[in-house]
Amino acid sequence: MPRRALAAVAGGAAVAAALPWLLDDFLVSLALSCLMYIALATSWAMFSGATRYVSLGTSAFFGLGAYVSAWTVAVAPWPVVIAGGALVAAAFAALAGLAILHLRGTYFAVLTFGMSELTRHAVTYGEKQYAGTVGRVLTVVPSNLTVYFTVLVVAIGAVLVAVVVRGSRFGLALLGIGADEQRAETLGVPTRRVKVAGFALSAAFAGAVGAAMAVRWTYIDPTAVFNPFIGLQTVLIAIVGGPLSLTGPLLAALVFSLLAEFLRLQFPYAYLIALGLLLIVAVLYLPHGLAGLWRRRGVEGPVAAQ
Amino acid sequence: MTAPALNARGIVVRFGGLTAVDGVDLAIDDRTLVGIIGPNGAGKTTFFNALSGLVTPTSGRLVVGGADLTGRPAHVFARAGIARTFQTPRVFADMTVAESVRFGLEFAGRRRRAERASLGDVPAILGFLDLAELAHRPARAITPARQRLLEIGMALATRPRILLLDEVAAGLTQAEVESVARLIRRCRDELGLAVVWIEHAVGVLLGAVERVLVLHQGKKLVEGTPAAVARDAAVVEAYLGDGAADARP
Repeated sequence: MPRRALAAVAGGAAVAAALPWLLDDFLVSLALSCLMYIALATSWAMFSGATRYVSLGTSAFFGLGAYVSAWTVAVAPWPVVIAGGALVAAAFAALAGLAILHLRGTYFAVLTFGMSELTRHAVTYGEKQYAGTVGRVLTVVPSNLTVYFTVLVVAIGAVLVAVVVRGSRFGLALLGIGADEQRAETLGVPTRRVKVAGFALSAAFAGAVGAAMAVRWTYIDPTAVFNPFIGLQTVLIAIVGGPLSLTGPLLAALVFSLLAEFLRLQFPYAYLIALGLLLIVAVLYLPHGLAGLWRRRGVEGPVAAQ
Repeated sequence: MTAPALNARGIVVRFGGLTAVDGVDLAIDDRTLVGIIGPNGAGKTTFFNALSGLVTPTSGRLVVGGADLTGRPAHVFARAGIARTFQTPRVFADMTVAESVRFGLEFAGRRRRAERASLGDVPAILGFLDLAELAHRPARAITPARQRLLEIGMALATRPRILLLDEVAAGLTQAEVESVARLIRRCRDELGLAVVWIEHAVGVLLGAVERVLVLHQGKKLVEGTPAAVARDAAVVEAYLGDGAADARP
């Protein structure tokens, strides 16, 4: 692993870890939101940025993690709850991936969106049928500090895994699939297996984040945790930041979660319009996102892109 | 006589109602140069797609080095030593020339022994193709002719036993075509590969290969030495039209 990246991650983590003692509650909850989007956007970019399979399924994985948390938090130890959220989301992504990862482009994006809606309705139905309720009030929950540090650990994990994947044969296989899937297959990449594994790995982080965040809200229902806005904002952050870079989505997650909190409260419509416009601009003019702007031109391929 | 490196028996590929390849047999021995010619729509590329595992034949068997790979995905064919190029060069646009070649070495090539030093590492492969000075250029920034060479390099990096070349000479100048023909011969002589070459430039092809297969409407029309196929003037003329004039050596 590059020493510089490791040092940057360690530095960032140290700062983030100190924040609960330096800031008031409102600012710490903003920082939590930043960490959540760092984890979501970094893990999204690891799979979707490299392979160009644009997934709108983040909400599904996040929501599944949240429900795993709601079902188990009163009875299981906290780390098991988080791991359970990650595993259920990853298993679901693997199954869904086997079914839909042969479709590319718009078809894949639309299907992952549909998958989120389907999951939401399935959970709503299941809860009504078997629990006799739609929402759940979580009474036994860990402290806010525990949640903050859990999301911090998941975010650090997402960044470290993304760094390791970039330097690995697995990461190279993902890039090859993004460049020309059939070509990669004829050069010996088992594309189907690699795609399913990458999709599941990326989903695991969304599931873990969902599991941790669920207890923050104390009351959850399918509409809140399968909120498509979470998936869309993740995609937007990663694409605007630069889907092939590491630091791009990371910095964009910081900026956008802050913007989202401030602007969404003040000017909710203006914020959504601005997001939409930014996404269009990024897709049309900034194929490598904002990260592409400060990267030197022509020298680095996507492999070298930081 | 050992078993052929690749043995295709009764290959049929049907898309809906269209039969693109209709019962073609082809056995390729190690270190042989085979050409496939035929008019547009004769099923040449579809046949290649079947030989490299990209398309599963509707019926027929594909035996590679003694193992029956019929119906397996393309990466299994690559690992078994079948490498190919595409009609329009499909290089990894955003990777550098060196990274593109490294790709094959990291996947199919990793599991295969480099029997010759020329396929040992990226510089050796780039040296063989005379692309060394472009190593750090992005693949999209080199000329189309060089991209074709790079595609051959990516294929060679899988350390194949058989190289399938789909119209590598299309759109090249006469001098470039002749240099491609020399390169193909070197792949056999220096790297010990069997090469199967599909081409429209029939004249060059007939001068470069040892055996020719003529496809027409998905069926094998003639198979034989270039001289025999060229002598079969009536057949060649009937199916290759203008190309037949160039075809006579």
